[in-house]
Amino acid sequence: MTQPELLARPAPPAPAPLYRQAFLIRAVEERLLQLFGQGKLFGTVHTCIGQEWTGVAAADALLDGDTVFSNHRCHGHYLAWTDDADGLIAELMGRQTGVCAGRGGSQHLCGRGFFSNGIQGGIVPVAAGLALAHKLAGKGGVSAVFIGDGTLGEGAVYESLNVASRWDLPLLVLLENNRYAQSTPQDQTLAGEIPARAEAFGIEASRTGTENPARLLADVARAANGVRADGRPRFVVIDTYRLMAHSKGDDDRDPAEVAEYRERDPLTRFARDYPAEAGEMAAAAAARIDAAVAKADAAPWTTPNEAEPLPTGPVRWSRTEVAGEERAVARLHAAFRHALAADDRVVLIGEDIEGPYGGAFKVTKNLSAEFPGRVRNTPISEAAIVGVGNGLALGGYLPVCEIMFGDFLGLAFDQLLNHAAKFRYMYGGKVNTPLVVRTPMGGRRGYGPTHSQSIEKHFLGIPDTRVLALHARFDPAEVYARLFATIDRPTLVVENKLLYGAKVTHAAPAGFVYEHTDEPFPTTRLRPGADPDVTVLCYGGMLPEAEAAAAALFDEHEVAAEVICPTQLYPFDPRPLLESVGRTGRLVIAEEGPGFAAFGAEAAAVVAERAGRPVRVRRVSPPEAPIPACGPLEKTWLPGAAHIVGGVLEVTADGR
Amino acid sequence: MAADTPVVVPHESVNDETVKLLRWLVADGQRVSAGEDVAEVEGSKATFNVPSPRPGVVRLLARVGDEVAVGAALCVVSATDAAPQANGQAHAPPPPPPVRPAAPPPVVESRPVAAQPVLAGPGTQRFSKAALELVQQHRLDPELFRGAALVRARDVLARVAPAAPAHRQPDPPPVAVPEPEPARPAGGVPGPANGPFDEVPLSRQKQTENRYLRQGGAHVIPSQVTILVPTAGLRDALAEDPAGLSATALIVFEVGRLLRRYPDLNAFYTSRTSCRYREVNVGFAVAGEYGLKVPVVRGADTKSAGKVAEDVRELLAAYAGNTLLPEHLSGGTFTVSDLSGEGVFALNPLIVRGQAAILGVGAEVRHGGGATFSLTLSFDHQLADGLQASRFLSDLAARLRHHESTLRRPAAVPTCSRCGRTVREVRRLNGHLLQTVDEAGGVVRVCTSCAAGF
Ligand SMILES: Cc1ncc(C[n+]2csc(CCOP(=O)(O)OP(=O)(O)O)c2C)c(N)n1
Repeated sequence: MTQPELLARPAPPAPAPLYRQAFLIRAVEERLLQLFGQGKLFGTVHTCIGQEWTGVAAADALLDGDTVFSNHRCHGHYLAWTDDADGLIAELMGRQTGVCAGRGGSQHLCGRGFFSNGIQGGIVPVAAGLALAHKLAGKGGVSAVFIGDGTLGEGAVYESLNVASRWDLPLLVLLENNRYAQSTPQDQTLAGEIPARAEAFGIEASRTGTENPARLLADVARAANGVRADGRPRFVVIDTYRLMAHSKGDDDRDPAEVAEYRERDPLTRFARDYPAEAGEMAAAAAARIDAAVAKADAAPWTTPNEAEPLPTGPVRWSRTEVAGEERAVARLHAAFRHALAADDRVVLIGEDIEGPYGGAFKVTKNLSAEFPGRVRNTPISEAAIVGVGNGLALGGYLPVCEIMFGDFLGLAFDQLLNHAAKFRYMYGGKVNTPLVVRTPMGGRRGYGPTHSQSIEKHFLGIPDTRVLALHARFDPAEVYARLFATIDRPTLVVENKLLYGAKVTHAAPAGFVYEHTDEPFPTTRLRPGADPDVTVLCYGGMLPEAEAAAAALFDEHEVAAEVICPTQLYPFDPRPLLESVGRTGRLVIAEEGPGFAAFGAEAAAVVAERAGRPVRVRRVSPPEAPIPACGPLEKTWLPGAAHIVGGVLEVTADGR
Repeated sequence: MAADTPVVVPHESVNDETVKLLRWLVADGQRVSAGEDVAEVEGSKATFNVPSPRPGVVRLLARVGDEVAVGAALCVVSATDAAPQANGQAHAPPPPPPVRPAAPPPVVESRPVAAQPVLAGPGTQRFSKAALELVQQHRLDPELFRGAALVRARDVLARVAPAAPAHRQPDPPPVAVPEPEPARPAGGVPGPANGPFDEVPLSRQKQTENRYLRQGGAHVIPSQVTILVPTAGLRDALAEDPAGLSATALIVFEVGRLLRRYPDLNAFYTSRTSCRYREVNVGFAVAGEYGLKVPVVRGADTKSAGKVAEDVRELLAAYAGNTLLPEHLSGGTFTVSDLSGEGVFALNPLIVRGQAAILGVGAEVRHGGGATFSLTLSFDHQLADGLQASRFLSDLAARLRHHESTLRRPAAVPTCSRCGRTVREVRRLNGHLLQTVDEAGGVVRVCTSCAAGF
């Protein structure tokens, strides 16, 4: 649609349709600022006025099927890639017709393989994961990611660059260097040279800028084509300048500096050189925007996320027979081997999981040789491990991330909390994130304060996630088989360290039987062969202790204890517990980690709210202190069968 | 001849207590050299080979497939020359590890259970220790209990004395079973009745008491130590204590502090373990209109004497008002039974369930020039012994006597019976302490400011 009269004058430095796109982006951003002033937007907006050409150049260089990741300043990137002004404006106005159904808002957009997140840096490993997905799919796709220069302070960026280079991932990093991070000038926080950062990882870096759009288009296209050609990452530094505040009313820069850049701005210059064309492009943009705002105004507000209801009705129990007496580690190995063989989407990543080592707890022994490329050693980069997992999940794979010790999960927390757990909701239900993170937790091995903890409580209660705790009285392989068959959300699987060596069997102490509910991730109950006097609630590694306590309680105190042990800690289905305390009126909750604000507190609250009868409750958990390494001390620190017996004697003491 | 040297399972992985013997790399009777692998075993993390520590002839002790404990011997190597020589040639190199097919997820078969009982088949039935003892004591056939998954003492007793009609004759010897409770090793279970008897059901209150005091089945081995404590009148001294510390409160207070040093008396026994309570919660027995109750002073070791006295007062008031709540009565880790007010000389208190010991306090007995009272400790001999118990009692006696001497002193300073000010304090306010006589003829002191208030 080049205008014929354009050809008569000095050639504009870039094709006219791209100018049209850039003008649309600027006009949308300006209108968003107006709408903000009218109270029609929520939170804040980060406009890209002055930086429009970065998005235009990326969209011009990338192809259908590629993916684009972005950050808080994402409107221009999104518009250039999708041309969806209606969806963008409605999204920011919180309407159901928004690109993410009005749930994501300004910083969280998703469409045509585009994903943005307002968490600085965290999206980079996700982009690397999607690059891995492109590579595994083998269709030549490229994963591009925008970051700001301020985000060079985030460690996740470097974990990702390292992985992308080492693994030859088709990742294109586009760094928008506008020299400020919010209010902070770059020279206060940035050491060294920017391109040197990428070069240190063996990644080819190049430098360009938005002042000369034609050169920018050529440089970005060259980098993108390079990635596509050799499958290796590229890093492009794009010097640019933001002409408006960081978000709203927060600009402390020298007005003279801003004015100077406005003079040099390519759109300012184009409007000066081609006033008629610029006027026409601006008018066309305004017309589109007017229509978009009018449509959004008429659309209904977004709706809350429909939280999945927990099952209701009576609990159905069944007995399950486990064939043989294998150790749990062998069952887990069999489960992953089977999953890898049965489903090409399954990919295992983690530290030291390749053969011959096969993982710190040997769960993946020999699998890397059998499934090359799908069982991968990672660097010691927990954020990147889970971030790459997130990207694989978005790319249609079923990633299983092994975190060597549960204690290290803190390093990946942002990936779980602000990425995996948020994608489905904030992207308007367009994606789900079938991510499995599995990790050993628990003590009794003397690994000390940072390798023996049970920290799952910090990961409970994140909406849209699932937390499972395995035990040896329901086949762990079966749990994973069901997980792979049904996974619809990020799932953290806690494997107690003692579980690996334990025999998987349904055998119960004499006089008791094991039964399971018919949920996919069942609650297990150890049912005594007499009316139960007391309920013991536990999970994962505490089940063997509770089992021993139940036997001792009967032998020595004639107390019949019923043990309730959910596999799924969150979301928590309290029905089996309520059913049991409804009969016993007494509850002892045993946990391996400190009890404050932990699973037991939640279970006690549910019982208080919903048991329908008074229930005496005791919690058995270790002291509120770090776990000692010294063996004998650790033994007294951790709650065991004797502590459970003590708790039961307390709640049964007065004969009520 | 050199002794046999065991080849033990090394501690390869902290996660394993046992390993599985996958296969032998040598034959029984074969000669091996030092460092030569004799067996391949499987732990949870890896399979590994176990070498012989010395040259010699092996004698295999385990079978392929066995779970062998870490540190236990797989085989022994002896230096005997008499052992048959392996036929000269080096044994074949170990075959490659067997290739196992990809194990699919196991077939798990689920069968719904609709409130169906836990079936007790052979080997799946469980007798409590007390029940087992009764079965043996009465030479019963365990087959009698077929079908019951969990068998308690009361189930056994029900077989011994089936639903007894009133006014039964004792012959043939039935067993009187007033309360289906677990046997006590020291003759706690009533033996055969010695004549006709009537059955009078116990009150609910008494049944609750019994459950509470029951010695937790057969798991306590009770023992007892009593000491006599000379006193110059602790009770009289306390009666004059301006802080209102009662004898019970003082004993609870001192016992609480002392138990920190005797953790095995603040514990309970189970499965070869002393379970030492982290808190010291001292219960004290109260008997009166509402039956025997044992309210508990929580954290007795952390509270001041005044605070303990206040707790005791409040708990006694709650008893008197029949408003004691379950939380007042639970969580005790040690119990005091003070029957001194009843003129009891010494008592044999029953250890409360889930505890290791109970202190009995007797009344002061005057004789000759002085007086004594008894302190008795009933304790679980599985957790402590007589020496420890008597040390505990002497420590307690010493502390009580110390109080006696300090308490007497403030009593010597005259105080106003209303505001509690001492003579000196009253003087400082430019007042006087007046001495008058009450209706009963007792001496009463009132300060001038209190008197002015009349
Ligand atoms: C993890 C994280 N830390 C801090 C912030 C708050 N924040 C939002 S934008 C921003 C500045 C980002 O600077 P830069 O990466 O240079 O991008 P620019 O705003 O210049 O486009 C900050 C600090 C955030 N969103 N996420």
